[in-house]
Amino acid sequence: MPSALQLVERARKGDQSAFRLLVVQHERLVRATVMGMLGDTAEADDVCQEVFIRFYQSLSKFRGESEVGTYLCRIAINLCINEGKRRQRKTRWLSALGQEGHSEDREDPGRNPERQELEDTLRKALQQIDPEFRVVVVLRLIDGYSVKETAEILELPQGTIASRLARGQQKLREILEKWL
Amino acid sequence: MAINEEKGRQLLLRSLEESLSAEEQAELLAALAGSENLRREQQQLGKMRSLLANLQPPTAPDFPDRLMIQLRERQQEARIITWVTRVAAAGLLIVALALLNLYWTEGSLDTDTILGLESLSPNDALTLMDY
Repeated sequence: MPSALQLVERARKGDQSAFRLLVVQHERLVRATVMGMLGDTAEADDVCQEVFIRFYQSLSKFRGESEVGTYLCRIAINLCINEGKRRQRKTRWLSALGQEGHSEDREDPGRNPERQELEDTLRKALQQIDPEFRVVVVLRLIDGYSVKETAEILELPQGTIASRLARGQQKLREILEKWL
Repeated sequence: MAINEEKGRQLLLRSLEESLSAEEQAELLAALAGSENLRREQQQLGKMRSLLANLQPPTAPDFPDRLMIQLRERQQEARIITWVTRVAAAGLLIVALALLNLYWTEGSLDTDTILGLESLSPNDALTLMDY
């Protein structure tokens, strides 16, 4: 199995099958990050696609100083923040027009309903906490990055990450109290 | 007691990410022993972290294929944009060179020069009327 860096090198030379393999290897991580940030919505799928397209476009700039997954997470977080701002603008416009402005959650009919309900509740609870806390919770507790790695991805001091993580967890626990 | 509980909460949250000193560990244990709220929070936080760690994104088996199609479409669009930009740039260059040539030969770029009217005399108009 070729390493991610070898695949990047091949993709850079125009080998699309190598890039496809990179997508297969990192889809779950990107999807977990994006869905943690945006919820299980139709836009989340578009953002996942956009993450890989941006990565493809910036292959020549990728120097391998960070892991491919870390690099993809950085792109995903930036795109999710932009998407969040776009949603806010849309909600403002729609509320000004007197309409509801929320994204429809999708249901996967092939999944265990109880499990799906619990996951939906978790994702909805995540959407209720501030993005600055949410991003830390997603990277640390869903993606499994360490505090140090999360600090590197977000380019913030470790102390800030630790305090945002503590506050984010506390808020999330309060929201989910009756489920836990 | 309330102060102890708040301090205990902070230690509890810290203990999830880092190892506490022996003194802090003892303080946390004492706070947990003395507060049912804190014990419940500890349990809830543990459960919540475990649920988050196992939160699986829904699978999309056709995602890589859809993405590669989208990528090829974008590349095609980018090629078309590059081609159109080059044609437009070449067109602008030709116009600029033509104007430069005109200025070089005629010494002016006013409208009459550009339209070629400067070298026409009234007689030319009469000659045209003969046709």
